[in-house]
Amino acid sequence: MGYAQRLVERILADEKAKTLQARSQTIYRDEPLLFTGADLERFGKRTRQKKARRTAAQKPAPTPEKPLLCIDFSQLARIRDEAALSCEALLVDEEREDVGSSGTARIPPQIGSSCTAQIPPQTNAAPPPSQPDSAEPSSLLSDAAPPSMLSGGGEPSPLSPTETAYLRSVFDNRPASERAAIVRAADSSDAMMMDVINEKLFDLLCDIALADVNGEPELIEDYRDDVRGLIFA
Amino acid sequence: MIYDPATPPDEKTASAARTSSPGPRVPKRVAAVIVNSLKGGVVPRVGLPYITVGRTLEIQALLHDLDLISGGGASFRFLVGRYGSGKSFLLQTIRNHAMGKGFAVCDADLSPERRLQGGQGQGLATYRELMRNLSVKTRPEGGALPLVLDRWLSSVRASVAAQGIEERDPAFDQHVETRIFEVLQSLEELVHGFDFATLLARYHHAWRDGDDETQARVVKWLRGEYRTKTEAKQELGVSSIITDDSWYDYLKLFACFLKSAGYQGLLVLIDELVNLYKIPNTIARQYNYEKILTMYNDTLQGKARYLGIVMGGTPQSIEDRRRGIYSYEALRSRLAQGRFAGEGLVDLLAPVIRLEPLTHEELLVLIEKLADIHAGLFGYTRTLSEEDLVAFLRIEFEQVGSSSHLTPREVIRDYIELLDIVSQNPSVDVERLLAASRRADADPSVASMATSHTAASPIDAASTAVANMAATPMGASPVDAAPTAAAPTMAPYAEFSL
Repeated sequence: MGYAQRLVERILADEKAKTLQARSQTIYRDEPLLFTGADLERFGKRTRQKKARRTAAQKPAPTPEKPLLCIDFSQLARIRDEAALSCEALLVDEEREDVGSSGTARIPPQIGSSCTAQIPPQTNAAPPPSQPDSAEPSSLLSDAAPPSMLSGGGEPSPLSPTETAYLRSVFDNRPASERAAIVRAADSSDAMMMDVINEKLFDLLCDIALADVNGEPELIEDYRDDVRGLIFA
Repeated sequence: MIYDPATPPDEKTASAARTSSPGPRVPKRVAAVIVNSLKGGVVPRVGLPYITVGRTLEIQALLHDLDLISGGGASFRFLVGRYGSGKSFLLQTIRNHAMGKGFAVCDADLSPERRLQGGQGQGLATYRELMRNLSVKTRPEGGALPLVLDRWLSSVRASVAAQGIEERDPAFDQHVETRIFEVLQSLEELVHGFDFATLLARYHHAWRDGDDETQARVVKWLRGEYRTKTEAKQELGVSSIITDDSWYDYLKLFACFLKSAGYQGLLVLIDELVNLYKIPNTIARQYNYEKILTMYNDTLQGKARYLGIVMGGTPQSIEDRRRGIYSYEALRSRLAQGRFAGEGLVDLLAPVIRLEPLTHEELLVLIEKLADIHAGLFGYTRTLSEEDLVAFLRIEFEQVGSSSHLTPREVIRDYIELLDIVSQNPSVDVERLLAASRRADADPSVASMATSHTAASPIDAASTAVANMAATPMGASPVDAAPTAAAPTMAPYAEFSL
């Protein structure tokens, strides 16, 4: 009897109490009723209180609303310094030399209402292959690396005549047979010729100028004006 | 942040100049690539050091690894970070730096078809991808294997010529053969070294005889593209091929060979480890983790030389005890954080480097740098003040879903667009632009109205563009979503895919 009551007290919920009551009547037919109406009310109340406590414990405590953007301005100087250190560590020698010689100002010297005029035109600056000399380089890249700068400002070009001929052939989109003849005469290969040219131009451009596209050398358009300056200097 | 519309433009310019960091100068051609690529939402090919913010310790750790590799050692790292935490950026940064320093680099993203081990050639598929993407400084776009071989032969011939033996001399080839044999003999000591050396010798003979076809076949063999031994035997006379089980041994061989060919070593970058986590079959997954264990042990026990391996993945793909790498106890016990790390103390000599997303302060410094680079590229003085930059960031972070979906990629793409608009309309009031964007964010009807009318003035055009920018859902290209009146005046950017 005592066991049954403790068991029921532990698991009883008010909505099930009546069912249990009915069951106890079935089981203990000759015994008096287990629970009175007051008991049921008390059990129900206790269950509800337990539920409320459990829910309250599960609900996270209300936190003060955090702003979506939170910036500590005292950190900025440190972050800038560290970024400068990382930059220095990541730059390779050629990039450093480029910055030292022909690099452009990080902060431009002048503001002008005409700055829109310095934005490169929409069309490609590349001239038609048949008239390589006719068009002027775009203002942007000529600013960045004038021909004289790329060819060493009066110094001899870093490319040999064979390499220059090969580069010009690519620049002018001439037939592959012409390049093959140049390569054959130099006892080299397309891959080796591109490698040598890219290696030499890396010192000037901080990047390669010739890319291999489906087995064919192709001039990277960003550097067309730089290469023109080099070839026709 | 106090926005004072009464502040004269000159003072704002001065304020912008004050906040500019005295960083290194960026060459214009590099600046152009940076701006173009970021606007297109891709990591730039070059110039990454100029826009690297944060990650100081992580970069130091990876650079230290490169020193170790070039000195004859080996390294193994996991780069762990959530989506948008900058894994790809850091991998690309290290890749570029390594190539600039004379390393050969190969990279591959894992996928359901490309694993480290698999019953249907999935491991070999990864090797093929790695070889296809083999890159060096002068060929960063991949496909450098023939170049590496040619350079090696050229350097051997040059060294023989430097001894005073002329190429016309009948003994010249004999001397070259001897020199090549010395290199190959050192490789033969390694597993599968004899086959590898045989193929290199065959390449040299073909190169000497001008036999392009045999050269191409050797390259095909080294790329692991022969499917059967019979095919290899018929075409090259060798009875072995690179298989799912042996490809990693060949990577180790390549690393040693590359050193003798004049490179500093081989850096292998493998991303998207989550594809191993996704393998449904437990046994297959464990085989893949076993391969990682082999690589890890080799690099740390000195069985691999001149080889560095970096694997990138999400925290789940590494730390999940049920399916992640930590489900393989042998790896978990090696990789798991020790008892002293954590709570702000990071051990960057540990094999796992955890990347946290950029902080708001780092993001602010980053867009500050970009403003300077943009101004230097297009030749104007930066007018965006620190307050403007913060206001821009606030707009970005106030977007719905920004806490879970906003990544630096989206923020920077929007930012470059803002810079473009401001640079094309120098008389435009930046605060007004940003305010218009805020209104568009709050009330989408503003944006829809903006897209429907034709802008009459530069300010209207710019406002329209910014309103469209704000109204564009994250992840979609603002240009695609709503062509603006201002955008067409900007030169089209060349696209660089990585």
